[in-house]
Amino acid sequence: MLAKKIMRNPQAVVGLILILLIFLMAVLAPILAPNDPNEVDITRKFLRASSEYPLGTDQLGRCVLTRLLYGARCSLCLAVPILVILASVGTFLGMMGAWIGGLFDRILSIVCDIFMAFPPLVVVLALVGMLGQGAVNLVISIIFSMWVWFVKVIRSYVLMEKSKDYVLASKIAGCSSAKILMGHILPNIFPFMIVYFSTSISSIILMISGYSFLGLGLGNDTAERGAMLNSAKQYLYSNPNLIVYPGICILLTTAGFNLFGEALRDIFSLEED
Amino acid sequence: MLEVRHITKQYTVKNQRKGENVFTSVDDISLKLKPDSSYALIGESGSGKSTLAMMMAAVLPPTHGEILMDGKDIWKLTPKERRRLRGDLQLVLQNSKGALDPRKTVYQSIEEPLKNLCQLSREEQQRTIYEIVEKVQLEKSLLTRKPNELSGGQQSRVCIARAMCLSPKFVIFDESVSGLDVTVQKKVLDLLLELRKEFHGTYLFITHDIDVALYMSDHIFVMKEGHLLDEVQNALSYDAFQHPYSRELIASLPPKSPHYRL
Amino acid sequence: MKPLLEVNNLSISLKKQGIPIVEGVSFQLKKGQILGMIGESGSGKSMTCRGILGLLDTHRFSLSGTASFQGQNLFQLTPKEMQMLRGEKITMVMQNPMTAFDPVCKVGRQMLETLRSHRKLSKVSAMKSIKAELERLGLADTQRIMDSYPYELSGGMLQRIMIALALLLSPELIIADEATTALDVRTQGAILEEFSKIREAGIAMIIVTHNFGVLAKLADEVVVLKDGGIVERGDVFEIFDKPTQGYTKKLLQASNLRKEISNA
Repeated sequence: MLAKKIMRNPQAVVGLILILLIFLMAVLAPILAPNDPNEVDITRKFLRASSEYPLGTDQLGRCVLTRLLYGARCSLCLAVPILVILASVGTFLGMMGAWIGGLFDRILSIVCDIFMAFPPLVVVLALVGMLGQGAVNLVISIIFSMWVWFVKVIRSYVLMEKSKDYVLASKIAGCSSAKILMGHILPNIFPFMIVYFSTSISSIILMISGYSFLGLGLGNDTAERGAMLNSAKQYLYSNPNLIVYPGICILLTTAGFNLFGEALRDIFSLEED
Repeated sequence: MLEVRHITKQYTVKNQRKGENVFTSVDDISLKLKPDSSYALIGESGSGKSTLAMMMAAVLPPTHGEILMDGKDIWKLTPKERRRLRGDLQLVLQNSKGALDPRKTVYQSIEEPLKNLCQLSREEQQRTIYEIVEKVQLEKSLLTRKPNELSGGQQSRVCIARAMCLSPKFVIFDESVSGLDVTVQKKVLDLLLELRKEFHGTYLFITHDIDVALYMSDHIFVMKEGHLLDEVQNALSYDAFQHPYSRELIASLPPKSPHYRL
Repeated sequence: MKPLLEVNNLSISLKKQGIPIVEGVSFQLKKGQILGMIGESGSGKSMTCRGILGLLDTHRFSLSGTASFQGQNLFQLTPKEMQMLRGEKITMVMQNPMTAFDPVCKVGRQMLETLRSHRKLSKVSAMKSIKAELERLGLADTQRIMDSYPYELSGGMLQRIMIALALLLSPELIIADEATTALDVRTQGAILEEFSKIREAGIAMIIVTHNFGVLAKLADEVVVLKDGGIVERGDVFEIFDKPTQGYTKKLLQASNLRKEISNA
């Protein structure tokens, strides 16, 4: 039923195709890639597109296409675990806050408000400054700056659902709190959560690339698109293609998740009527 | 026996302009429901009748007072004991569409209280469900449907089946037929009368419609703004009501026929 | 005398699926007359009224038949003419008054705006007539009501305000679509009283309901609808005393709960 609706929505289909392509790129990178992503050969720098290097080489003579394919791996390998952690923390705390209410909820809300008062960039700057550059530190700082949003959003979904009559009715039918939360509320807010997660993953990917571009995330030696942009920016005039290719890749990746998420939101809101 | 003793429910309403306000929804109400009898409670919207129903059904704690079920105060029990008690104390909510989880089938909805409150084998469970579904006159083909594929009358039958499958000693029906068409309403009311003959429980029908109250029971309570104003036993017609407020309610009923038009 | 409203063979169907909702409904309404439309939900009574008033989305529904009001064919009016007619000659009172008001705007201002968009009145004189009308309807505390937001007032009060507004526009016809269904007995009684005063003022009404009591109190003529068509029509006394159709009998029986007790 839902699958049929997704298939009938062109926006969702485009988004889904893009997402599938990105996953395929990440999984099949070693097979698809013509070269080693980290093989440096200074003599072959800034080569034009050829059969050996389909998109040319960069300032260190590395194959651009190969690095872009591995870049998909890099984005997803960081973004997916981040999302999983954020989703579980957000779901657990959000549900607890909304369900228990009272003092626990008030303290949780205050903590969330404090965290929300800091812009994410400042948090990441401070953390990376303290912990140093690197993938793990990037993950920690993104989680640190984003978890409150997940808690807040899921808490509001649960609150909305909790006030509905069927929750009271299941209480009368003898359900325990855990049963009501897991058996009734979670399945009913799940579609909304998927929409939120789908649009969040694109902002996480954008954050990873963005911080790497600013030199806060992964180093320039890794095949990460933001880092590629960073090292390519000095050659903007002589070799603009080095900036254009990773830019397009980032755009398509985030667009895929965003399109899919937004389309899902439309589909679910139609279902409500 | 279900006995309500001096029960009061107060809410603190925070108002930005006027500061904190204490609003008393139910004010010092006492009543007794004897086993195997039927009662009706009349009240307008805002009279606190739903609040009273929720306190009696052990889902909303009262501010003061106690509710004794067979001598035990249900609000002094542990949450676990109170949950076990729901097998004998059921509430059917007003909004039957909203009272059903939109993602569960009719079968799953009716199965839920049985799973939670009765130790039955799978076969016994299935048999009970088929029996009750037949009793509330729902077609078996509806069991696999979701609530939004049912009509209003069918939804309220599912809610009734859900409560009745436990054969509880006490059932409170909170406006369970308002919002239904007259023909459907009549059918559901007749069904409830039949079920009562069969299950021998104590039923409390909460309604704003005096005709419904009289149709369902001859022991009627009248509630207004949180107070219990009138209690009429052997109420067989409008004449049984003496309290000025009850008379006022009766006077504002539309006429039964155009001949009685004033 | 020519009828005020004449509906001939009105049919409404869903365009996309071609499902008929209302089929061949015809009725007439004379000046100052009250027509009761009764039927279960899904019988097409609300759709008929909305179709007549041009309130249906023409992309979703297709209409056929004619409806003429004071000799004007309603289906040939431009949307703008229809809108003017809706405010000045025909007004509607709906089931849920809460949704008819803008929740963030004070009630008084909304009444003033509606009144002044249809009548050329100064603010002061419009205010005066609103207050007078509210007082006539038994809402004494007018200043407080005008300064309240819709959510601060009860459903019965909002419904009375809707009726006051409908009356202020001094229409020829008021259509009340389940106007008392969501209300308590006492509020319903008060509003029915109000409607019978409207009748005395010579304004015609169409009352849509599923409650026979409302018709017993008010209607002159009754049409009984089922599945989009009229099954029975007649004078209100005939319908109550000698219903000819089984469906009407069934409805009457179901709505009269008390009778059965006294028989039993």
